[in-house]
Amino acid sequence: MNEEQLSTLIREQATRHLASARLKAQIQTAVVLTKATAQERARPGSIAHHWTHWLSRLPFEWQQLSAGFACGVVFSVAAGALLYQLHAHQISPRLDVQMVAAHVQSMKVGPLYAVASTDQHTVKPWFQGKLDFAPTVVKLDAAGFNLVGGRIDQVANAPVAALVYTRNQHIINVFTRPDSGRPQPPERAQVKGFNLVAWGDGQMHYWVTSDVNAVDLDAFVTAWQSAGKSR
Amino acid sequence: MRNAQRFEALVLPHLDAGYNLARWLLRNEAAAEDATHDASVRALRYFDSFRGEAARPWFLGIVRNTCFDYLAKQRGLLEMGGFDDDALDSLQVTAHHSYPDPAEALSNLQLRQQLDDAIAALVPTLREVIVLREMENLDYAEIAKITAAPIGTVMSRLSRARSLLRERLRDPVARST
Repeated sequence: MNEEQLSTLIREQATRHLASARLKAQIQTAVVLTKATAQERARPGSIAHHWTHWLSRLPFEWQQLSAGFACGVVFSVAAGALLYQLHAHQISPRLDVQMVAAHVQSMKVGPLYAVASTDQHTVKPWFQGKLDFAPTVVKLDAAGFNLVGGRIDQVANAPVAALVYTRNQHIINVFTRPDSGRPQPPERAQVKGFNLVAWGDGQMHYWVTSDVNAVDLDAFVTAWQSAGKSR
Repeated sequence: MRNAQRFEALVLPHLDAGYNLARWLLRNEAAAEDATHDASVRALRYFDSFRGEAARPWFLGIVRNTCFDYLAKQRGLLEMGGFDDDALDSLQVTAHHSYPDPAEALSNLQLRQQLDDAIAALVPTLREVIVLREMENLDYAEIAKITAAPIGTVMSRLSRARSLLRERLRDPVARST
Protein backbone atom coordinates (compact mmCIF):
# COMPACT_ATOMS: atom_id res chain seq x y z
CA MET A 1 0.00 0.00 0.00
CA ASN A 2 1.54 3.30 -1.05
CA GLU A 3 0.88 6.79 0.39
CA GLU A 4 -1.79 7.59 -2.14
CA GLN A 5 -3.68 4.37 -1.41
CA LEU A 6 -3.47 5.10 2.29
CA SER A 7 -4.83 8.61 1.77
CA THR A 8 -7.71 7.26 -0.28
CA LEU A 9 -8.36 4.59 2.32
CA ILE A 10 -8.55 7.12 5.16
CA ARG A 11 -10.67 9.47 3.10
CA GLU A 12 -13.13 6.78 2.15
CA GLN A 13 -13.12 4.49 5.16
CA ALA A 14 -12.06 6.26 8.36
CA THR A 15 -14.86 7.65 10.50
CA ARG A 16 -15.36 11.39 10.18
CA HIS A 17 -17.28 12.33 13.29
CA LEU A 18 -19.96 14.93 12.78
CA ALA A 19 -21.19 17.33 15.43
CA SER A 20 -24.70 16.40 16.55
CA ALA A 21 -27.59 18.77 15.89
CA ARG A 22 -27.92 19.13 19.65
CA LEU A 23 -24.29 20.28 20.03
CA LYS A 24 -24.64 22.74 17.17
CA ALA A 25 -27.77 24.14 18.75
CA GLN A 26 -26.11 24.46 22.15
CA ILE A 27 -23.20 26.35 20.61
CA GLN A 28 -25.51 28.58 18.59
CA THR A 29 -27.44 29.35 21.78
CA ALA A 30 -24.21 30.14 23.65
CA VAL A 31 -23.14 32.46 20.83
CA VAL A 32 -26.49 34.27 20.76
CA LEU A 33 -26.49 34.75 24.53
CA THR A 34 -22.85 35.91 24.66
CA LYS A 35 -23.60 38.44 21.96
CA ALA A 36 -26.73 39.65 23.71
CA THR A 37 -24.95 40.23 27.04
CA ALA A 38 -21.94 41.83 25.33
CA GLN A 39 -24.23 44.27 23.51
CA GLU A 40 -25.88 45.27 26.75
CA ARG A 41 -22.52 45.91 28.38
CA ALA A 42 -21.22 47.88 25.42
CA ARG A 43 -24.25 50.16 25.25
CA PRO A 44 -23.09 53.12 27.46
CA GLY A 45 -21.41 54.19 24.25
CA SER A 46 -17.77 54.60 23.63
CA ILE A 47 -18.63 56.16 20.26
CA ALA A 48 -20.40 59.08 21.93
CA HIS A 49 -17.40 59.55 24.17
CA HIS A 50 -15.04 59.73 21.19
CA TRP A 51 -17.26 62.30 19.47
CA THR A 52 -17.47 64.70 22.39
CA HIS A 53 -13.76 64.38 22.92
CA TRP A 54 -13.12 65.18 19.27
CA LEU A 55 -15.55 68.12 19.30
CA SER A 56 -13.99 69.68 22.41
CA ARG A 57 -10.69 69.96 20.57
CA LEU A 58 -12.20 72.10 17.76
CA PRO A 59 -11.96 75.96 17.75
CA PHE A 60 -14.96 77.72 19.37
CA GLU A 61 -16.57 78.96 16.11
CA TRP A 62 -16.39 75.44 14.74
CA GLN A 63 -18.01 74.12 17.89
CA GLN A 64 -20.91 76.54 17.41
CA LEU A 65 -21.19 75.57 13.79
CA SER A 66 -21.22 71.89 14.64
CA ALA A 67 -23.80 72.51 17.37
CA GLY A 68 -26.05 74.11 14.75
CA PHE A 69 -25.42 71.24 12.43
CA ALA A 70 -26.16 68.74 15.18
CA CYS A 71 -29.51 70.47 15.87
CA GLY A 72 -30.36 70.12 12.20
CA VAL A 73 -29.47 66.44 12.27
CA VAL A 74 -31.53 65.83 15.40
CA PHE A 75 -34.52 67.58 13.83
CA SER A 76 -34.36 65.58 10.61
CA VAL A 77 -33.89 62.30 12.47
CA ALA A 78 -36.90 63.11 14.66
CA ALA A 79 -38.97 63.98 11.61
CA GLY A 80 -37.84 60.81 9.88
CA ALA A 81 -38.66 58.69 12.92
CA LEU A 82 -42.12 60.26 13.12
CA LEU A 83 -42.77 59.55 9.46
CA TYR A 84 -41.51 56.02 9.89
CA GLN A 85 -43.80 55.51 12.89
CA LEU A 86 -46.77 56.76 10.93
CA HIS A 87 -45.87 54.67 7.95
CA ALA A 88 -44.99 51.40 9.69
CA HIS A 89 -47.50 51.68 12.47
CA GLN A 90 -48.54 48.07 12.80
CA ILE A 91 -45.95 45.36 12.39
CA SER A 92 -42.60 46.39 11.07
CA PRO A 93 -42.19 44.69 7.70
CA ARG A 94 -38.50 44.41 8.38
CA LEU A 95 -39.19 42.28 11.42
CA ASP A 96 -41.48 40.04 9.36
CA VAL A 97 -38.73 39.45 6.87
CA GLN A 98 -36.24 38.74 9.65
CA MET A 99 -38.55 36.20 11.29
CA VAL A 100 -39.01 34.39 8.00
CA ALA A 101 -35.23 34.51 7.45
CA ALA A 102 -34.73 32.94 10.90
CA HIS A 103 -37.27 30.26 9.95
CA VAL A 104 -35.42 29.51 6.70
CA GLN A 105 -32.06 29.54 8.47
CA SER A 106 -33.28 27.04 11.07
CA MET A 107 -34.17 24.57 8.34
CA LYS A 108 -31.33 25.23 5.93
CA VAL A 109 -28.37 25.58 8.26
CA GLY A 110 -29.88 24.40 11.49
CA PRO A 111 -30.01 23.84 14.30
CA LEU A 112 -33.74 23.35 14.32
CA TYR A 113 -33.87 22.80 18.04
CA ALA A 114 -31.55 22.69 21.05
CA VAL A 115 -34.02 20.84 23.23
CA ALA A 116 -35.84 18.01 21.50
CA SER A 117 -39.02 16.95 23.20
CA THR A 118 -42.70 16.53 22.50
CA ASP A 119 -43.44 17.38 26.12
CA GLN A 120 -44.08 21.02 26.97
CA HIS A 121 -42.94 20.35 30.55
CA THR A 122 -39.48 19.51 29.22
CA VAL A 123 -39.26 22.28 26.63
CA LYS A 124 -40.44 25.16 28.82
CA PRO A 125 -37.98 24.62 31.71
CA TRP A 126 -35.13 24.40 29.19
CA PHE A 127 -35.46 28.16 28.64
CA GLN A 128 -34.98 28.84 32.36
CA GLY A 129 -31.86 30.84 33.05
CA LYS A 130 -31.24 31.35 29.33
CA LEU A 131 -33.78 34.10 28.70
CA ASP A 132 -35.12 36.90 30.86
CA PHE A 133 -38.69 35.90 30.01
CA ALA A 134 -40.66 32.66 30.16
CA PRO A 135 -42.08 31.81 26.73
CA THR A 136 -45.45 30.10 26.38
CA VAL A 137 -45.13 26.44 25.41
CA VAL A 138 -48.31 24.53 24.64
CA LYS A 139 -49.13 21.08 23.34
CA LEU A 140 -51.29 21.19 20.23
CA ASP A 141 -51.46 17.52 19.24
CA ALA A 142 -55.25 17.58 19.39
CA ALA A 143 -55.27 20.21 16.66
CA GLY A 144 -52.80 18.23 14.55
CA PHE A 145 -49.66 20.20 15.35
CA ASN A 146 -46.86 18.30 17.08
CA LEU A 147 -44.33 19.98 19.29
CA VAL A 148 -40.81 18.77 18.49
CA GLY A 149 -38.52 21.14 20.34
CA GLY A 150 -37.23 24.61 21.04
CA ARG A 151 -34.15 26.78 20.73
CA ILE A 152 -32.99 30.37 21.11
CA ASP A 153 -32.44 32.55 18.07
CA GLN A 154 -31.28 36.08 17.64
CA VAL A 155 -33.62 38.29 15.64
CA ALA A 156 -33.24 42.05 15.34
CA ASN A 157 -30.44 42.05 17.92
CA ALA A 158 -32.54 40.46 20.64
CA PRO A 159 -32.81 36.87 21.79
CA VAL A 160 -36.12 35.22 20.92
CA ALA A 161 -37.54 31.91 22.03
CA ALA A 162 -38.22 29.66 19.06
CA LEU A 163 -40.55 26.68 19.28
CA VAL A 164 -40.79 24.10 16.54
CA TYR A 165 -43.98 22.28 15.62
CA THR A 166 -44.65 19.97 12.70
CA ARG A 167 -47.76 19.44 10.64
CA ASN A 168 -47.38 16.45 8.30
CA GLN A 169 -44.03 17.20 6.67
CA HIS A 170 -44.17 20.94 7.29
CA ILE A 171 -42.13 22.74 9.91
CA ILE A 172 -43.63 25.60 11.88
CA ASN A 173 -41.50 28.03 13.86
CA VAL A 174 -43.06 30.10 16.65
CA PHE A 175 -40.96 33.06 17.78
CA THR A 176 -41.73 34.73 21.09
CA ARG A 177 -40.41 37.99 22.46
CA PRO A 178 -41.63 40.06 25.42
CA ASP A 179 -43.78 43.02 24.46
CA SER A 180 -45.13 45.75 26.71
CA GLY A 181 -47.55 47.16 24.14
CA ARG A 182 -51.27 46.75 23.74
CA PRO A 183 -52.70 43.43 22.61
CA GLN A 184 -52.70 43.13 18.84
CA PRO A 185 -55.02 40.92 16.83
CA PRO A 186 -53.38 38.44 14.45
CA GLU A 187 -52.05 39.98 11.27
CA ARG A 188 -51.24 37.88 8.24
CA ALA A 189 -48.38 38.39 5.87
CA GLN A 190 -46.63 36.53 3.08
CA VAL A 191 -42.88 36.71 2.63
CA LYS A 192 -41.26 34.88 -0.28
CA GLY A 193 -44.03 32.30 -0.28
CA PHE A 194 -43.91 31.68 3.46
CA ASN A 195 -46.98 32.46 5.50
CA LEU A 196 -46.59 34.47 8.65
CA VAL A 197 -49.00 35.47 11.37
CA ALA A 198 -48.01 37.96 14.06
CA TRP A 199 -49.96 38.96 17.13
CA GLY A 200 -49.47 40.19 20.65
CA ASP A 201 -51.31 39.47 23.89
CA GLY A 202 -49.96 42.57 25.65
CA GLN A 203 -47.21 40.66 27.39
CA MET A 204 -45.65 38.70 24.57
CA HIS A 205 -45.44 39.17 20.85
CA TYR A 206 -45.64 36.07 18.67
CA TRP A 207 -44.63 35.35 15.11
CA VAL A 208 -45.64 32.06 13.53
CA THR A 209 -44.13 31.22 10.19
CA SER A 210 -44.20 28.19 7.94
CA ASP A 211 -44.72 26.99 4.43
CA VAL A 212 -48.07 25.43 5.38
CA ASN A 213 -51.05 27.07 3.73
CA ALA A 214 -52.66 30.13 5.27
CA VAL A 215 -55.76 28.19 6.44
CA ASP A 216 -53.66 25.69 8.40
CA LEU A 217 -51.56 28.45 9.88
CA ASP A 218 -54.73 30.25 11.00
CA ALA A 219 -55.86 26.98 12.59
CA PHE A 220 -52.53 26.85 14.41
CA VAL A 221 -52.93 30.38 15.74
CA THR A 222 -56.49 29.67 16.90
CA ALA A 223 -55.37 26.47 18.63
CA TRP A 224 -52.43 28.27 20.22
CA GLN A 225 -54.58 31.11 21.51
CA SER A 226 -57.24 28.86 23.02
CA ALA A 227 -54.58 26.61 24.57
CA GLY A 228 -52.89 29.71 25.96
CA LYS A 229 -56.15 30.92 27.53
CA SER A 230 -57.00 27.61 29.16
CA ARG A 231 -53.53 27.30 30.63
CA MET B 1 -18.58 43.04 19.32
CA ARG B 2 -18.87 44.82 15.99
CA ASN B 3 -17.83 41.67 14.18
CA ALA B 4 -20.26 39.51 16.08
CA GLN B 5 -22.71 39.16 13.21
CA ARG B 6 -19.92 37.78 11.01
CA PHE B 7 -18.98 35.18 13.58
CA GLU B 8 -21.98 32.99 12.94
CA ALA B 9 -21.53 33.10 9.18
CA LEU B 10 -17.76 32.55 9.24
CA VAL B 11 -17.11 30.16 12.10
CA LEU B 12 -20.22 28.09 12.75
CA PRO B 13 -20.02 26.29 9.37
CA HIS B 14 -16.78 24.68 10.61
CA LEU B 15 -18.30 23.05 13.69
CA ASP B 16 -18.22 19.61 12.03
CA ALA B 17 -14.51 19.93 11.25
CA GLY B 18 -13.84 21.22 14.76
CA TYR B 19 -15.82 18.44 16.38
CA ASN B 20 -14.12 15.79 14.24
CA LEU B 21 -10.69 17.06 15.29
CA ALA B 22 -11.73 17.20 18.96
CA ARG B 23 -13.31 13.74 18.77
CA TRP B 24 -10.15 12.25 17.33
CA LEU B 25 -7.82 14.05 19.71
CA LEU B 26 -9.79 13.32 22.87
CA ARG B 27 -11.17 9.94 21.75
CA ASN B 28 -14.30 10.51 23.77
CA GLU B 29 -17.65 11.84 22.62
CA ALA B 30 -18.62 13.85 25.70
CA ALA B 31 -15.17 15.41 26.08
CA ALA B 32 -15.14 16.30 22.37
CA GLU B 33 -18.52 18.02 22.68
CA ASP B 34 -17.33 20.00 25.72
CA ALA B 35 -14.11 21.00 23.96
CA THR B 36 -15.94 22.09 20.80
CA HIS B 37 -18.34 24.13 22.91
CA ASP B 38 -15.48 25.75 24.89
CA ALA B 39 -13.51 26.44 21.73
CA SER B 40 -16.52 28.15 20.12
CA VAL B 41 -16.99 30.43 23.11
CA ARG B 42 -13.24 31.18 23.13
CA ALA B 43 -13.33 31.86 19.40
CA LEU B 44 -16.19 34.30 19.87
CA ARG B 45 -14.24 36.07 22.61
CA TYR B 46 -11.12 36.31 20.44
CA PHE B 47 -13.08 37.19 17.31
CA ASP B 48 -12.02 40.83 17.50
CA SER B 49 -8.44 39.67 16.93
CA PHE B 50 -9.51 37.75 13.82
CA ARG B 51 -7.97 39.56 10.86
CA GLY B 52 -10.06 38.11 8.08
CA GLU B 53 -7.71 35.24 7.32
CA ALA B 54 -9.21 31.85 6.46
CA ALA B 55 -11.75 31.06 9.19
CA ARG B 56 -11.34 27.29 9.10
CA PRO B 57 -7.67 26.99 10.15
CA TRP B 58 -8.18 29.85 12.62
CA PHE B 59 -11.06 28.08 14.34
CA LEU B 60 -9.42 24.64 14.16
CA GLY B 61 -6.34 26.13 15.83
CA ILE B 62 -8.50 27.19 18.77
CA VAL B 63 -10.19 23.78 18.91
CA ARG B 64 -6.79 22.12 18.80
CA ASN B 65 -5.41 24.23 21.65
CA THR B 66 -8.52 23.62 23.72
CA CYS B 67 -8.12 19.86 23.20
CA PHE B 68 -4.47 19.94 24.18
CA ASP B 69 -5.43 21.83 27.33
CA TYR B 70 -7.90 19.03 28.07
CA LEU B 71 -5.28 16.37 27.37
CA ALA B 72 -2.76 18.14 29.57
CA LYS B 73 -5.29 18.23 32.40
CA GLN B 74 -6.26 14.61 31.86
CA ARG B 75 -2.81 13.13 31.68
CA GLY B 76 -0.61 15.61 33.43
CA LEU B 77 1.39 16.24 30.28
CA LEU B 78 2.50 12.63 30.14
CA GLU B 79 1.36 11.85 26.67
CA MET B 80 2.23 15.05 24.86
CA GLY B 81 4.55 17.05 27.06
CA GLY B 82 7.57 14.86 26.75
CA PHE B 83 6.96 14.23 23.11
CA ASP B 84 10.01 13.73 20.98
CA ASP B 85 9.68 13.30 17.24
CA ASP B 86 12.79 11.13 16.99
CA ALA B 87 11.69 8.74 19.71
CA LEU B 88 8.82 7.72 17.47
CA ASP B 89 10.90 5.33 15.45
CA SER B 90 11.06 3.05 18.44
CA LEU B 91 7.26 2.82 18.42
CA GLN B 92 7.13 1.27 15.00
CA VAL B 93 6.10 -2.34 14.88
CA THR B 94 7.68 -4.89 12.64
CA ALA B 95 5.47 -6.84 10.30
CA HIS B 96 5.26 -10.59 10.63
CA HIS B 97 2.82 -11.25 7.83
CA SER B 98 1.93 -9.17 4.94
CA TYR B 99 -1.41 -9.08 3.17
CA PRO B 100 -1.17 -7.96 -0.42
CA ASP B 101 -4.15 -5.67 -0.17
CA PRO B 102 -6.09 -5.23 3.05
CA ALA B 103 -8.89 -3.48 1.20
CA GLU B 104 -9.68 -6.72 -0.58
CA ALA B 105 -8.95 -9.04 2.30
CA LEU B 106 -11.46 -7.53 4.68
CA SER B 107 -15.01 -6.36 4.62
CA ASN B 108 -15.49 -2.62 4.74
CA LEU B 109 -16.73 -2.68 8.29
CA GLN B 110 -13.70 -4.52 9.62
CA LEU B 111 -11.48 -2.28 7.61
CA ARG B 112 -13.06 0.83 9.01
CA GLN B 113 -12.67 -0.50 12.53
CA GLN B 114 -9.02 -1.35 11.93
CA LEU B 115 -8.30 1.96 10.32
CA ASP B 116 -10.02 3.87 13.11
CA ASP B 117 -8.14 1.86 15.72
CA ALA B 118 -4.84 2.45 13.98
CA ILE B 119 -5.43 6.21 13.82
CA ALA B 120 -6.61 6.31 17.43
CA ALA B 121 -3.45 4.48 18.50
CA LEU B 122 -1.19 7.24 17.16
CA VAL B 123 0.11 9.82 19.62
CA PRO B 124 -1.91 13.09 19.51
CA THR B 125 0.66 15.08 17.53
CA LEU B 126 0.66 12.46 14.77
CA ARG B 127 -3.07 11.82 15.01
CA GLU B 128 -3.90 15.47 14.45
CA VAL B 129 -1.85 15.79 11.25
CA ILE B 130 -3.61 12.73 9.80
CA VAL B 131 -7.04 14.10 10.72
CA LEU B 132 -6.26 17.56 9.38
CA ARG B 133 -4.58 16.40 6.18
CA GLU B 134 -6.54 13.30 5.19
CA MET B 135 -9.99 14.00 6.62
CA GLU B 136 -10.21 17.78 6.59
CA ASN B 137 -8.09 18.24 3.47
CA LEU B 138 -6.00 21.13 4.78
CA ASP B 139 -2.67 22.00 3.20
CA TYR B 140 0.71 21.94 4.96
CA ALA B 141 0.76 25.67 5.63
CA GLU B 142 -2.68 25.54 7.26
CA ILE B 143 -1.73 22.54 9.38
CA ALA B 144 1.47 24.31 10.43
CA LYS B 145 -0.60 27.30 11.56
CA ILE B 146 -3.11 25.14 13.47
CA THR B 147 -0.51 23.04 15.23
CA ALA B 148 1.93 25.93 15.75
CA ALA B 149 4.74 23.88 14.20
CA PRO B 150 7.09 24.64 11.27
CA ILE B 151 6.02 23.24 7.89
CA GLY B 152 9.02 20.90 7.87
CA THR B 153 7.88 19.36 11.14
CA VAL B 154 4.36 18.95 9.80
CA MET B 155 5.69 17.11 6.77
CA SER B 156 7.91 14.81 8.79
CA ARG B 157 5.13 14.05 11.29
CA LEU B 158 2.79 13.30 8.43
CA SER B 159 5.22 10.88 6.86
CA ARG B 160 5.89 9.19 10.23
CA ALA B 161 2.17 8.91 10.87
CA ARG B 162 1.59 7.43 7.43
CA SER B 163 4.30 4.86 7.75
CA LEU B 164 3.06 3.85 11.19
CA LEU B 165 -0.46 3.45 9.82
CA ARG B 166 0.81 1.41 6.91
CA GLU B 167 2.65 -0.89 9.27
CA ARG B 168 -0.37 -1.38 11.46
CA LEU B 169 -2.74 -2.01 8.60
CA ARG B 170 -0.39 -4.44 6.96
CA ASP B 171 -0.30 -6.50 10.12
CA PRO B 172 -3.57 -6.09 11.98
CA VAL B 173 -3.43 -9.46 13.73
CA ALA B 174 -0.11 -8.76 15.38
CA ARG B 175 -1.42 -5.38 16.55
CA SER B 176 -4.52 -6.71 18.24
CA THR B 177 -2.78 -9.54 20.10
